[in-house]
Amino acid sequence: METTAWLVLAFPLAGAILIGLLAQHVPAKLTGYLGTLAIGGAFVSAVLTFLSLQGREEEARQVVFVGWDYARSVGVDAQISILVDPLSVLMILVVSGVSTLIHLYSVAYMESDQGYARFFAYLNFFVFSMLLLVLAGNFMLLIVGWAFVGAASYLLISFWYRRTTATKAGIKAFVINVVGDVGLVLGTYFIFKHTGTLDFLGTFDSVERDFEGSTGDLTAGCLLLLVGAFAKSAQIPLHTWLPDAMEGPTPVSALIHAATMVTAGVYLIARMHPLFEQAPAAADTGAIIGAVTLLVAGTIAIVVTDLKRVIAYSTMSQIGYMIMGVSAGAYVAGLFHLMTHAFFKALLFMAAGSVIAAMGGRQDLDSMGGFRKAMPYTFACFCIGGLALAAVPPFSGFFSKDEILLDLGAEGGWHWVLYVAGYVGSLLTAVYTFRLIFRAFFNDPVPEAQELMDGHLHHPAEAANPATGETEDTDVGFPGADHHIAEQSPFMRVAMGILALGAIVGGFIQIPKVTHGLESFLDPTFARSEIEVEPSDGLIYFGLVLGAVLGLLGIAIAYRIWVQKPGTSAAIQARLSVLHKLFSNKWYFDELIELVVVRPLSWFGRFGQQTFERIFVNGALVGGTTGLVRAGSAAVRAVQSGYLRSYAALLLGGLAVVGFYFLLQA
Amino acid sequence: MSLTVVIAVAALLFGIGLYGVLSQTNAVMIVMGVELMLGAAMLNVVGFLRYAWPEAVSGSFFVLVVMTLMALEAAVGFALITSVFRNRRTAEVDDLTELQG
Amino acid sequence: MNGRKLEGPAIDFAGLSPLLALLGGAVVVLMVGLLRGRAAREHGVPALSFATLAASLGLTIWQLDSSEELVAGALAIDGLGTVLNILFVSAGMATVLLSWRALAPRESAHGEFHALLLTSIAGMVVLAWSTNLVTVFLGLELLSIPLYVLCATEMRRATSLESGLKYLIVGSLGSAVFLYGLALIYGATGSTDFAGIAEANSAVGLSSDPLMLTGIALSVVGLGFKASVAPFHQWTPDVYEGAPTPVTAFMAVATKAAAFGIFLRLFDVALIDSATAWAPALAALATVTIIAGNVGALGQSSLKRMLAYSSVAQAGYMLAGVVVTSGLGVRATVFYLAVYLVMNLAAFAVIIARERETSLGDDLAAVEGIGATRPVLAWPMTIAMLSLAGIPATGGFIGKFFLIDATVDGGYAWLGFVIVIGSMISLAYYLRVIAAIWMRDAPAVAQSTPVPAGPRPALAGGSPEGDAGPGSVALGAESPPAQAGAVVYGGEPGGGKAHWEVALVAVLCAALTVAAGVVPQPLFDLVQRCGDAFTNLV
Repeated sequence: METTAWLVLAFPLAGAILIGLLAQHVPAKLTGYLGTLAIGGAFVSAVLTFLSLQGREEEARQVVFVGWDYARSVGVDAQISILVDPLSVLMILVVSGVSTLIHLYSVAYMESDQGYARFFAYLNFFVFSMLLLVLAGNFMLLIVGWAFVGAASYLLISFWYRRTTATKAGIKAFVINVVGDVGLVLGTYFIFKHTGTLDFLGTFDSVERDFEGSTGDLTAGCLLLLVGAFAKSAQIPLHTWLPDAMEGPTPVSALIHAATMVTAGVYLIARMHPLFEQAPAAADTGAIIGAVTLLVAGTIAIVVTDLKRVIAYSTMSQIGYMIMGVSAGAYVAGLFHLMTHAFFKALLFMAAGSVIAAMGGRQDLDSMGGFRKAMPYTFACFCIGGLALAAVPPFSGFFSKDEILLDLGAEGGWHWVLYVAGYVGSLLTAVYTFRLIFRAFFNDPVPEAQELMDGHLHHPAEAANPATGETEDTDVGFPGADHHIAEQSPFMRVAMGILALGAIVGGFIQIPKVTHGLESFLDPTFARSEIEVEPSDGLIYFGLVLGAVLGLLGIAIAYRIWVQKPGTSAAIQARLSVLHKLFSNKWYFDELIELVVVRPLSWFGRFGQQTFERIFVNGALVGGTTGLVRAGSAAVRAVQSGYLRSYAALLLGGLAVVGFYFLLQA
Repeated sequence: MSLTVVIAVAALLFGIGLYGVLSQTNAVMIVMGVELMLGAAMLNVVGFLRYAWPEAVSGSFFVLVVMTLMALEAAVGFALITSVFRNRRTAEVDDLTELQG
Repeated sequence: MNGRKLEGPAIDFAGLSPLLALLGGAVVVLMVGLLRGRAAREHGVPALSFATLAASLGLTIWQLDSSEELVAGALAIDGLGTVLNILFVSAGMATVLLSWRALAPRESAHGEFHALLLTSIAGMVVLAWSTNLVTVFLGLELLSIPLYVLCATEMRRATSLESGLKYLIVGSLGSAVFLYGLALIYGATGSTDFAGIAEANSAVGLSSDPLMLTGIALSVVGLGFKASVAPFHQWTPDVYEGAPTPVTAFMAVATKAAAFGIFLRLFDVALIDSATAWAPALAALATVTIIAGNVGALGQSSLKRMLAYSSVAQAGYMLAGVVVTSGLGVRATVFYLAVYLVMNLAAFAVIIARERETSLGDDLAAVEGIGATRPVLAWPMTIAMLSLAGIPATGGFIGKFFLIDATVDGGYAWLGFVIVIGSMISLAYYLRVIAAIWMRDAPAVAQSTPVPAGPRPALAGGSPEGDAGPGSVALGAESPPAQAGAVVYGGEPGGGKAHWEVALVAVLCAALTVAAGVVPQPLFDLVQRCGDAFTNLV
């Protein structure tokens, strides 16, 4: 088990390095297979790890493997250690499994891109970082993985680095991620200060003892950890980078910005649950922010017209569910939703990628329609993903979302507010999901769909960035001249087919009152949790029925608005123009941040630059310091005259000063 | 003769040697100044051995060892000076300033 | 004396074996150097020298766990001595490889060059084992005197001779001051062995005795000189630049280790009870050293000179480990010494390789653009510079972290702050080298021009044989650089060829530098052994 667990990390790392080294020397095609194979190896290792973990006694299912001691004697117990337990094994299974499929998809999707090898090197590096993050057995490795994941995400968002929109989005994501990193590091510091150990299990064992009488520091530490979690998981108010991140290639959106990286925050809270249970204020903050995010993101998703951005907002919203769940103690439910979401959201992105390819790179929902007949396979996949997302039974999303809300309802107290918010969000989810499906696949075929049905492919005359209209640099700034749609590529079909299967049956491992697969698997990790809920039968049945009804109702509403009476949406827009404006401007979060953070900062910066910096910093501080250093340098070198006797004289002078000082002590 | 006198003479010798190092420009003279300083230190040890710590015989070993090392240092010093003189036709240290800065 | 019968001390020959191997090897190497066969001299001698060092290393490791007296009251083997010996001998092995096909041994004589090298290492070993003022001085001179000569072994090059003579004069001045200090300490305590000094110091309460204090002051200056602590550092840049580069590399790493070994022994063992007197003074000197070294290194175009100033600054960092008088400080100092050794050897090996491949000598221009043309040299140099600057994931980072931790722990947090400031200044000149390696194109003259531009060649006719050519006297006083037709320094054994053993040293040392940053624990464990010599430290 130890070997297989380390192999999970070794395969993607070796893949990234190998591809980086070989990129110049082997055919590009090979790097794609190599990358896929490496991640496949990681998945196989993860499965083997899972099997051998299950072969152990239940009490012995939390194992720390120490690769080597990094620094043990400097007052820090920094080790290269990984923690293998049901939680991390679940995460590595999901991450490596979904990653394998997305690599497979990318092999075809990115085929005509000039940066093919670079793409796979980055993607493998990302998978390595993500696996490091979830396998880390101590805070040090967690921080390293956390930072690496952020860096990989930055590299992949701005993968087409000649696109100004892509580089801008990359920088935005990077900056917000760094804010999160700082939060994580500071939070770790607050906790380490009391526990004196970086090791997870050691910290959890002693948390109650170490923080006796100083829960303030623990709450502060947990809140700072939440800052890290919010930044990675795109929760309000650190969410604005996620929609922009859709500038990256679609497989990246599927892997990083839907299935894996953005769920790191959920993982973090679940992993740190012994800390959060001792700091209820921080846990409640997490739950409330999750609820707010799921509602706000849901409303925005209804009005946004960019295909990928709708899915991005839906991702935010679904992660809101998970954050709400794990913060409120519904750990298994939150992770259950994480797993099913990884399947159906990756599937949705893959299908969306297919549509975008057919549209020649354009993502605007307004110009799509009628692809149902042109791309039946894509349509089927999109529908499966959509039904799972909209929580229609018996698709996987139905059971996982139901589980979260069920736990919240059973906890009672003020958690009822979250319960209600969750069901409102559920309705919103169904509406925006089927808005996508109806607008992209129903109604009359647009010219591109018509061409596809006639066996042609639509090629724009000149490649242009759909967002800004600027001409693309086809060397690096363009997904490739050829179209890669699922219908025509066996690789993409296989990847999407497997995910579709997962999206359908993934929910069956945890059905209320029927199966408890996930719960009993994860039990060793959450054995120390003090939160126990026993939902009553009434609540269970009520929840199941309500969830199903809301899902179907949402679909019905969407059908009515966008298929039966196509003019309805315009009418509603006109009537509720204030709301529409609010939603389509994304609740003015960008503007709010602009107003509250950026503007004052830039004003302050301008003031600083014009007055403070020029006079004080440049004049006195920088000028003074560099001047001082330069003068010192000149002085040292002037004294170094080369004359031997002047050296002897200085030696004598030094001797006199030192001797005088010592004699003063007498 | 007392310890104080010995220490004073030794200090005087050290001072003369140091003055020699600082004032002379010929490498040979400078090395001789250094030898004077080493001699002063040895005189100290002998003085302490004779007046303060007659029991501590290790002082006498100290002097013997230093004496040998002094001779070695002088030998190597003069060899180097000779070598420089052959190369540069000068033993004035103020001419050796190519390395500086 | 006084009619008492003197008994010969008990001598532990097994324990002394690493030293005996070195001295025996020195004699053998000297003799083999007299053989007529060219191959015997040019390859047999270095090979024997290397074998001697390897044997000594083996014997040292054989003694790894022993901790006992070797020669009663004079030499003792303990953890610190063993660890330092490993460092000295490793540095010696690297130096043998670096000088295998160098100019210096050919200009002097192979046998003599290597015999001097081995003797100098023997002096260091004596120093590392010494528990007595007599052996301290003996070891110090035994290591220094051969070095004076080694610096001057490129006998046709004026700067080599100049550096040798400068080192000799300033060095013996430092020795004289140090000896005077030792004499006063002996006078104040009546003892020459460290244990006796420490005992007298604590029993009689000598910590405010003027004699003792003057003695300590003079020892501080004397040792400060050997360890190139400012303001006694001035010989360092001149000597480092002038000496043959393999010798510079050896001096930079091994002498520094020896000087700090004895700093630790003398101050943290013998004079520990006077710490209140000397610790603040050493802290002030450390500050001056860090600033002078880092500031002086800015804007140097000679890589050797830059590294010389950098070594001054690093001496300041390590002095901080001595100042704090704690077990942590000792370990941090020795850890840094080990890391310092590998990162500097890597850098010097690259300089040597470029001196031989180009005609630019040790100028910064010699490494310009090697990122593209010579990655096998570019990477070690980059790693060495990053490590010297203290970038994470290198040994230099862990070493500095360790030292700063020790200063904070020992109540000298401000000194830790000075270390940080110094490191920030140092980035300016280390990154300059990295920028030159990766961002510039190789200068067009590098491989083509026959006339050397960098190192100043010796003047025509100034050969040791004394065949004074016409005009050499006239030129003697001014010595204009780069005379056409002068003895070409750059074009030398190997004639612009890359030497694999030099690259091997560079790569190996760079790998060790990274290893010390990624897997520092084995080195921590090794350094942990140094604690047993310091029974009176926390």
